[in-house]
Amino acid sequence: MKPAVAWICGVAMIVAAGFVAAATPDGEQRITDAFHTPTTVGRLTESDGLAVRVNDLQLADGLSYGGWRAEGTWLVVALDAWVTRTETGGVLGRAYLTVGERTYLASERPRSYDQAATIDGFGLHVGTPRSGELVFELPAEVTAAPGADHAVLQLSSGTALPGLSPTENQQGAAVIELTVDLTTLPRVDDHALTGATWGTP
Amino acid sequence: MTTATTTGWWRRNALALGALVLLVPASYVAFDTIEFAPLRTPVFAVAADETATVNGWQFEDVRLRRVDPASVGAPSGSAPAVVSVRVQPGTAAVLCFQPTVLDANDGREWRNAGELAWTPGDHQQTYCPSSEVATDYDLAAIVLLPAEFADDAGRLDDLVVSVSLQSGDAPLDLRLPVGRVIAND
Repeated sequence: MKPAVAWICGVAMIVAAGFVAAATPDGEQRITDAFHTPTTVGRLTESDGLAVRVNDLQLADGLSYGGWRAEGTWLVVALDAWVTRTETGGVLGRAYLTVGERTYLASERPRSYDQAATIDGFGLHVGTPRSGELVFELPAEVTAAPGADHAVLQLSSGTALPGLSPTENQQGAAVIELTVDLTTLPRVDDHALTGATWGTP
Repeated sequence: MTTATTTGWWRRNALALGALVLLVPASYVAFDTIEFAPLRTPVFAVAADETATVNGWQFEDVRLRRVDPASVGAPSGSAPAVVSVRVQPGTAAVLCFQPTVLDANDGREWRNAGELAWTPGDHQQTYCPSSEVATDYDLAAIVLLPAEFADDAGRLDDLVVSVSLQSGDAPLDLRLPVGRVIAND
């Protein structure tokens, strides 16, 4: 091989390796990063065995289910969800709302009254959708908070471990993300939860 | 480029090229054969209508009984079903858990649907209680299969029941094909 050709080949390989290295996340990051899949209201989105369709979002100043009622500022997310591969770990237990620098976990309060109050009270099924709501209990002034116009709803299957941060709980997880403008959402005085029911595929 | 210099380059790099010829196939073989077994639960699969014997315990007669969706609170059009495996306990200590159902075609897995209105019958158990129970019983679970199984009952024959066992220190995943499908009661 002529020296000139060898040099050209060598340099070309180094440049190519640079592109590969730039496009490859470092080892640790690749293992622990969450995998984000964006979605919009009404669009069926599937990621890593979890299928979700967010149908509606609204704010409510009070929430009720059966004999349970709580005042406060609630974000109510109506959705259909099911799993596509396995029912092991198939529960919407890692639902977060990020507003600016604050992250809220979906409230457990309604389902501590009745497991059927919200969709995360039961496991999800393979091929049979569940329909219901997730609720987030937020500060009263949340619509005026920084980042309220581009809050992010993050949904993953599995269960959030209480001792871990949201980022730690999402390590290696597929996260379906919906950007929400809290400042323009409809707001009602009181919302009666529909409870977890069977959905339509 | 002359023939002589080309031959010279191959000759100078003969060692590296030889290593390449050996290592590429060797890597391929290694990926395929490296023992990852400690990370996986061994699978013990038997054919339909065969008895699986584990440490003196016998598992056989796998049935899938269709259930009317309305009677258990499942959505109309779905195909809830009770699966059962006949267990003949042995004297050795064996732990076993509630059966799950796998689709042999695509590996989808259904687990016991706890929110359906079903309670095990007199001769049914949801786990192997302990070796003190000497009589036979059915290890059973209710699974919520989707509409495709209600529309095409022939697909039920593709289902395999999986039972997780712990025999001594060793976990085992027992796979038994559904032997008998029983229509709605």
